[in-house]
Amino acid sequence: MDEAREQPEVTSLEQTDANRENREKPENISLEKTAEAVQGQISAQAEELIAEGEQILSTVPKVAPEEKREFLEIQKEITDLKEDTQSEITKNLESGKKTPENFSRAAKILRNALKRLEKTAEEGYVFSYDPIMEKTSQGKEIKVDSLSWGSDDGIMTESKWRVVCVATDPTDGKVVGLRLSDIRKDGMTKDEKKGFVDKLKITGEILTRWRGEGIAPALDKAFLKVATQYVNYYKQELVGEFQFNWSVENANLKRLNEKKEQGLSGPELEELEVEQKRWQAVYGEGGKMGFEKVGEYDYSRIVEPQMEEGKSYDLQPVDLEKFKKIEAALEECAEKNN
Amino acid sequence: MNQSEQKQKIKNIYNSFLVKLNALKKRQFAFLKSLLEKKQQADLEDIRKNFH
Repeated sequence: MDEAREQPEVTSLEQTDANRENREKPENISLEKTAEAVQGQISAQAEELIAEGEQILSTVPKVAPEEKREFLEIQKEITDLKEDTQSEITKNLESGKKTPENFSRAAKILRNALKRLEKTAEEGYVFSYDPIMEKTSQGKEIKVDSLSWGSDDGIMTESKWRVVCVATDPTDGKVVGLRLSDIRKDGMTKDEKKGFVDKLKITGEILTRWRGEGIAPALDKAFLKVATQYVNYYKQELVGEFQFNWSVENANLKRLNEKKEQGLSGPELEELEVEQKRWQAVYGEGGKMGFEKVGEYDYSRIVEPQMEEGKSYDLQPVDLEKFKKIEAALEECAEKNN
Repeated sequence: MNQSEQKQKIKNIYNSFLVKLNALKKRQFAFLKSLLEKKQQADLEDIRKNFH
């Protein structure tokens, strides 16, 4: 027992850092990696103490239930301390993340647009389907609400559908991603089997609050489901044949090429290259979302109807409470960089 | 808050964890030590009773 009491105190972070100094310069280690390493150390040290206690207790003969209970209380405090500290580190990491300016700006524009649409929503001309739950590649759940309305941007011949998806973190209701899209007419095509087909183009952009957390692919998976509902609606309600082409632009590659031309190198370029690989794996040819390359930076895929027999694909006017809730959530992230 | 400030904050959280963990470590060993001594004392008394 005395031997156990004389064990050295738990190593401090400064000492651990010093041991690592020769391998990695601390300023080069990302914040996320630092947090991950510290959380791992916390876990290992707490578990080691729990195991030591259990090992010593196993040598004590005839332990009474109340003695065992007291021992377990101490062990629970160790576990609580471990979990509370890890969660404090996670919170610290999240609070330090800056909301990107383009995301805040988009949230503000959308919030203003929704404010102007309040009367239209009351009249029942803003539509919404049921929310969709998706998981990011990092296993975090996001809730995706959709809103759509007809818009002509002041030019009656240029009418289009605005389809907006707002992704929130279901644990705190904060907006983590936005997809702002349009569905507009794009001429006609002749199909051997179907005859004349009206083409519709789905365009838009996606913005996420945090980068590299897999929010965009999860949001676009939900967007595809929302878009499919509109395709189903057209098939159910309108006479004729339609083809919905979802187009995306590889803006990241454009930026990457521009930076290369400007002679940029180092971490900034590497970051764009890593981002490009991620983009290609999702939206590139043979990527997860099924897009095909149609131009230097343009990719496209057809959104096919997926109708279940007997199911209605009528547009559903948005519930006003939900509409206001989305507005309030946008308010929070629009304020971030004001 | 910039990255180095955040790293410093994580360090502070960790150091505060170490202080609390060391306190729990001492408490756990003190408890186990007194438990063991209690048992040893009980054993000694048993032996004494049997001896008489």
